[in-house]
Amino acid sequence: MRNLFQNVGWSALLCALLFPAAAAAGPDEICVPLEVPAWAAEEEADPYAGLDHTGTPPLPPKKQSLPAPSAEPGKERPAPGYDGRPAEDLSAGEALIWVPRVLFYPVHLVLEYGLRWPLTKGITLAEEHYLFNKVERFFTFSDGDGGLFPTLFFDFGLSPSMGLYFFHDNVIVEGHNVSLQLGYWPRDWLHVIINDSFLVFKDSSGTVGTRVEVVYRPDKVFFGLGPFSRQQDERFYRLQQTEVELGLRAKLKGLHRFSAGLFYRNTKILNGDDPGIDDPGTPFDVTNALEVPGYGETYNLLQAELKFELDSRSPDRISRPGSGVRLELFGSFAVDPGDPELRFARYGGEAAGFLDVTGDNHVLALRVYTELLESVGDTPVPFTERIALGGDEHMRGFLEGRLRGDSAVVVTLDYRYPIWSFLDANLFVSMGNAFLGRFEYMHIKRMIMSWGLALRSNTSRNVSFDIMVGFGSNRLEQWDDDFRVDNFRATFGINQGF
Amino acid sequence: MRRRSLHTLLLALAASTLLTACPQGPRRFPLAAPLWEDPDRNHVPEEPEEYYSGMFADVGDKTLFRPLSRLFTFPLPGEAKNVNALDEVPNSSWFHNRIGMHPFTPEQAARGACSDPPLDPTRGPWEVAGAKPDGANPGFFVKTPQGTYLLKFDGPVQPERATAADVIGSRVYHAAGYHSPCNQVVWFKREIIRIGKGAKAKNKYGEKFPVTDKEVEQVLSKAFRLKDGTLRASASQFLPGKPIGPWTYNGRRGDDPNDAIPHEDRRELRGARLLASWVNHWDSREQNTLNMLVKDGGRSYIRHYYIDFGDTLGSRWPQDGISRRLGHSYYLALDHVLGDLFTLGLLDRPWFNARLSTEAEIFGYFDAENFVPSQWRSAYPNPAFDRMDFRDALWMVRILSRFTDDHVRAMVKAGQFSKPTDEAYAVSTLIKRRDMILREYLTKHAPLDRFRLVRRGKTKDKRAQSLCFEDLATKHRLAAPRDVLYKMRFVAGKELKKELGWLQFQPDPEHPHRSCVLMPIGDKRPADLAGASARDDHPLRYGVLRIFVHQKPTLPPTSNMEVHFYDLGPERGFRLVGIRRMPEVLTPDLPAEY
Repeated sequence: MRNLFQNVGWSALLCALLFPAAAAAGPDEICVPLEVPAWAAEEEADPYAGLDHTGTPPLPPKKQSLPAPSAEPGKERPAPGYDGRPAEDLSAGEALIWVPRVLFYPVHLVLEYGLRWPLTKGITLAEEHYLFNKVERFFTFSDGDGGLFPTLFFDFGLSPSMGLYFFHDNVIVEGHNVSLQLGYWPRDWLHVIINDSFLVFKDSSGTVGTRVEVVYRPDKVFFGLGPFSRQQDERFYRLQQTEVELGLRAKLKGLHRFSAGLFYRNTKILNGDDPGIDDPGTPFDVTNALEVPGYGETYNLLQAELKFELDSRSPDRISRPGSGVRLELFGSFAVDPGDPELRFARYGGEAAGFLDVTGDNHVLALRVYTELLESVGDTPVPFTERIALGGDEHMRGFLEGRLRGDSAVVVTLDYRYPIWSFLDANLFVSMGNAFLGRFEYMHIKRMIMSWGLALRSNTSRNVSFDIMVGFGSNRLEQWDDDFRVDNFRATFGINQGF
Repeated sequence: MRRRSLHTLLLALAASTLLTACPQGPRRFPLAAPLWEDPDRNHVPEEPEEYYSGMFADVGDKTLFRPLSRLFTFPLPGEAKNVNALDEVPNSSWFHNRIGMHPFTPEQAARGACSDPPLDPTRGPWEVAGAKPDGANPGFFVKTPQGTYLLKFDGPVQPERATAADVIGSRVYHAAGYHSPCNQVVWFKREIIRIGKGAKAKNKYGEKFPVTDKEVEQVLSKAFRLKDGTLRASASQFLPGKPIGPWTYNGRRGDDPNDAIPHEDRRELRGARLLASWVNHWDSREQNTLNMLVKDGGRSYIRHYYIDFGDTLGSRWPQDGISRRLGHSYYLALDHVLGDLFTLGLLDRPWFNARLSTEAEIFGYFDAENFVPSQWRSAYPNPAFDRMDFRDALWMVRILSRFTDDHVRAMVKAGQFSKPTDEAYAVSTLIKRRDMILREYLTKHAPLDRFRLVRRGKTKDKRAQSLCFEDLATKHRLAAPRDVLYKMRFVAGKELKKELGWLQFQPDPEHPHRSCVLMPIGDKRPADLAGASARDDHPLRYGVLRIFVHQKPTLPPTSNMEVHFYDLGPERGFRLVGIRRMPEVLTPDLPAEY
């Protein structure tokens, strides 16, 4: 019968037949087929007004009034039985949940009173007394134009550093900005950068400036030159370098950029320290060291550099997709004034295509990077001036300088997608290597793979703050017999370009 | 040995807890009028201390510290505690039933909490008593011949939105039943503002200093102004009483003896999630509430207010990534972050589809297209919102269903938008969002409301009562009347398992949203089981009408609920004493005499 009812549908006839009592009760009670006129959901007059509503509970009072007191003044009032029913008994689930609650109560106590309470109270107290703003004021001056902040930098496998960052914008005249970065770590680790720049256009699109950089680091790493360098040949060297730059940087339309710089660099290379051990680090093998150009030497370089960046992407991340192409071209020439036979040119570029697959900044990118170094003098170019892969831009799963040579090529596939208001995730896989000469022995089999995941700040398409874990493999030709993840790298820092 | 002791302890613990969980008989409502006035306004002789609430502390606590700490308390969902027998919220120091229970005209909605004449910009001077020139919400307090007001301004990005939102939001919350201030849009000339004697400003370091023209101009520079220099602000009238800081969305206030119910278990705070979703009040945090110690009828007690609605109707952050997530995700929602990370961002998230309105750009991402009411989130976790269950939601839905299009138009008009297109956009978006809320809940849960027992005199027995009710789903055209079917089972007896009668019918096409059924359903009535001499509240006089609502021609109903009665006999009739809306969708058994 029920099936029949289901099959026939809700017809009024059937309904009336089945429920004569209801049908007899009046037209409102019966159910008939329906063709309903459009119904206005506006309030209507009460159709039952004036009728006897005995048995219907009263409505709440319309006007605000004071209820009778439910407790003595100042005494805690008992919670009333709101619905008048006796309290509900515990269900089995509600009862059994007390077992883990009792067992984990100590953990809860620690989290509640060891973590939550002090943190919440502490932050509240700080806010109540404007401590955050006062701290900011302590570290800044000139209405925020100047400031001094502590810094910390970490790159897995290398020495960490701590230091200070000082800046002062609009010094003496508007657009004159000065900054000083100081990084330090015990045992001869020192990194100082002084920047002094002027805005040359009113729209802040161009700066000229000088930069002085001093590096004393005992933990720089060298693995050898050319495509056959090996992870296990890791050697630490000490770098003492002072560099002065006079540069011009200009933002052109959109994301297009141009920069030119003149550099003077004094460099000294010595035995280094392994940051993982207390003893002085493993020096270069004497035999190999003799073969490493620049080792144990001091050289000076005067260098001129030009760089163009053409980028068709829109800088507007809010309403414009991130598709486009980017082309970067650069070239430089360097010469040692004390030894004119040490002179070389470096040139290269990167082409990248970006496809925003959803239009919401889910960007797939293919990047091809290549660079060459041409020595035009008789003195071998020091290894520290050779092309280096690894670090924050190319083959990111390796430490900077893991791959060095006179020529290099890297192909990278990137996928960048938003995961939070301030963060994008970036999956990347790169294939490349550094070679001697002009891509000597270059072959697909000689390539090395690097892959990883980075979380990147997304406030700019051009510059981002990264937290990254990356991996690097051995050469493809070794995979048949001995595939190895040669390197693991975890960093946080600033990245440019993508 | 130690391990064995532990096992024994655990077993004993489990056994003892299970023993306390023995099932009881049916929980009957008493034969009494429902509680409509929560007696929470007892005299508080000792003045409670002012409570300071830090925003960063609250964000950190609600986002990280509190969830982490509660993880090991294994919290269970639970029903709201301050709900009367009719599944409604009584009047209290938190809430007063208005549009949900009583006729409420659009004019009343437009007036909001304002009882005095509007602030007159020709009656000056308005003396600045205090200023806050820094920060995201600069403004100042002014003493006017009509009282003291807080003036707030729009800022340059979304002109007119913040001031209108503050006014419209206050009216929405007031009409719904919450305590809110009288906010109004004022247009005034610069000349009416004067610096009062002893007026102080506070900078971002908390340091006070005398207000000068510089501070006044700094604040007024945020104002939207007409070509003739007329300035626009929202003026919030000072609330009566003494401010003692915000109220919280969880816990109780220790120094308020009237505060007996944990706030996360107050239905009006839990259900407010849907109201907040309607106007996108994503900034529903405790700093936007206020406790006032009021004096009333010789008593001093705390009244609880919602105070700041400037974020509603599409407020934007400077960071677009945040703006497009507001209402959809928390500032930091680990479930969303990790979900997107591990699915490579391929999940269809509403913030990816969010587009800045081109029709009325001041409303930012406030739209109806990407609105999913049940998925709506405030900017960071709100303990009361997080505990909203379907009953709390349905309660608010019943209130929202009483907001007609005319109510919406009247409230938006109070926002005094200069451009008709802005007003039209706000009205249409609010109407669409209201309808989406109704659609989502009234097509999943019991849509019946306004139960009444009426002697309509349409039968031979003029004493016969009909149970009349309203179907909100049909009323709002969310369910096609031709598909709607009501099945009813009337049960009574000691265990409420004895079936007295059954009935099923479709609504009348003439008025499909209103139906009545003749009581009792079936030949017998509960009073027959109890006997004539049984006292009025005898358990056998108790009957429960189980109503199964079909909105589609399917075997399982869409929803079900119960209406509870005492039967005082044919002469005195039934007394409706309780309403329960059921969480699980039950399929009724075949009637006993089918």
